[in-house]
Amino acid sequence: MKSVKSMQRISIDPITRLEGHGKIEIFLDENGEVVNAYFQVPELRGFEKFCQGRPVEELARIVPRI
Amino acid sequence: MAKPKVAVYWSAACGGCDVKVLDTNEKILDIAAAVDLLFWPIALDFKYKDVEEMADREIDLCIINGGIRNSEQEHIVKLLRRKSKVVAALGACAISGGIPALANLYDAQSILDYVYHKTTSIDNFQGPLPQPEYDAPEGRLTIPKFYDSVFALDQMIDVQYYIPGCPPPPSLIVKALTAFLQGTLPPPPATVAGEGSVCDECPRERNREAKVKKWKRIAQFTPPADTKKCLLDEGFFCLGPATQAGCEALCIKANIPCEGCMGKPQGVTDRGSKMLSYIASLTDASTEEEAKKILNDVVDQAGLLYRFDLPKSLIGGRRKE
Amino acid sequence: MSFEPKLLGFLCNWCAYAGADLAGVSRMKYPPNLRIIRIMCTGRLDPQMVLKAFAEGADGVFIGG
Repeated sequence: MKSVKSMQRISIDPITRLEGHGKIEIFLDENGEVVNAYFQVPELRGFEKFCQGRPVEELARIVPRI
Repeated sequence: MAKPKVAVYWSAACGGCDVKVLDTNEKILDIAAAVDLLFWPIALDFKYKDVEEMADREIDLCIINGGIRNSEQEHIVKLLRRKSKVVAALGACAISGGIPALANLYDAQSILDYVYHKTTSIDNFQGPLPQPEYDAPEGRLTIPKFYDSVFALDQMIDVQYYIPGCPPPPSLIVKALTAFLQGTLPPPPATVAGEGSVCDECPRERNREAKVKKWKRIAQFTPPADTKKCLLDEGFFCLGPATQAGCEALCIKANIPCEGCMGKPQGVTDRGSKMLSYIASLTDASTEEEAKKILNDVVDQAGLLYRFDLPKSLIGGRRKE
Repeated sequence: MSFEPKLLGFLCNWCAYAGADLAGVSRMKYPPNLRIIRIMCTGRLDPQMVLKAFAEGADGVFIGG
């Protein structure tokens, strides 16, 4: 693995023209070749948790707003 | 004269509000021609870096939809506030937290635990939770900090205009943007919506003698032959009386009780308790026990009464020890 | 130190408030923990007011009427 210092980094923050939040970090070596890329989703709502215990017919009105 | 500069941002939102901006149909072409769009993640390719490089107060109108769920969203809305002259909150999430704010009934830890450990569709055998910082072999990666509660936009920054709805009706968006372009916006803070409550726009008629013995769920709904009867009188939990007008009673016209997405009407502090008082006066009970029994049959009162405005309500959310 | 609850009383002008008034005129004492707000009728009391009282630090709300 190459040392951290020599790595060039490209951040795409935020990724656009789509629904949702996202961020991509691309790491390049000294020759400009891609070493690794990370796709991150900086977003969590917790619908899984707060939909519990609600009437099932109400979910049709809650989860479209996910 | 230079075109006014407009930015649109979404924080903890579903994208429905942005879609409603596009739902202004052919008017979107006039809007796009009349303004310079500087930032709009769902539609245009601008990065946060571009916003940081703007001069202070460079944006004439910044439309923000979505509540504040994490540190990145707080940072960006504060940044946009600094770069903007006028900030408008678009939609229920920005105004009062919206649906994602139902999470305020739980703390961050129990949400993370459920989502990443207990959900049946998750196979997280090593059990890690998302960390704000992670040292990858190539360098440090960061994600925003997940807050314990969802906040409404005006709990973080000053907001001048509010365009309610979940999603806001395109007619209101057009009304607000037209007023902005013509310079006829009312003095802030102001809400761009109708007058009165949803009941004022509802075609159904109230029977002032009506009493309710049992509150029904929507699942028990069979469209009454007479579509003129008030849904509340029929025993359905319709939030119309405690909801700001402006949607033209869209849901009720489709035989669905109002869920209150337009937010609280003018002059109301806590919408849920206002509605509760209405429900109580409709309930047909002569003793306290009877009233308790009828109202305890209502499943998920918090979700029905405070679906869109937990952060801005007096009850706030879960009990904090 | 013993717990001194802060109580807020919403009293109806026509009965409970008149009663509290009469108690005052008769020189009967009540503890200062109770702060009284006169309302014209308990029918005017909105659940919002009760919630706001608790939100702003009241330990108990007394509704008389």
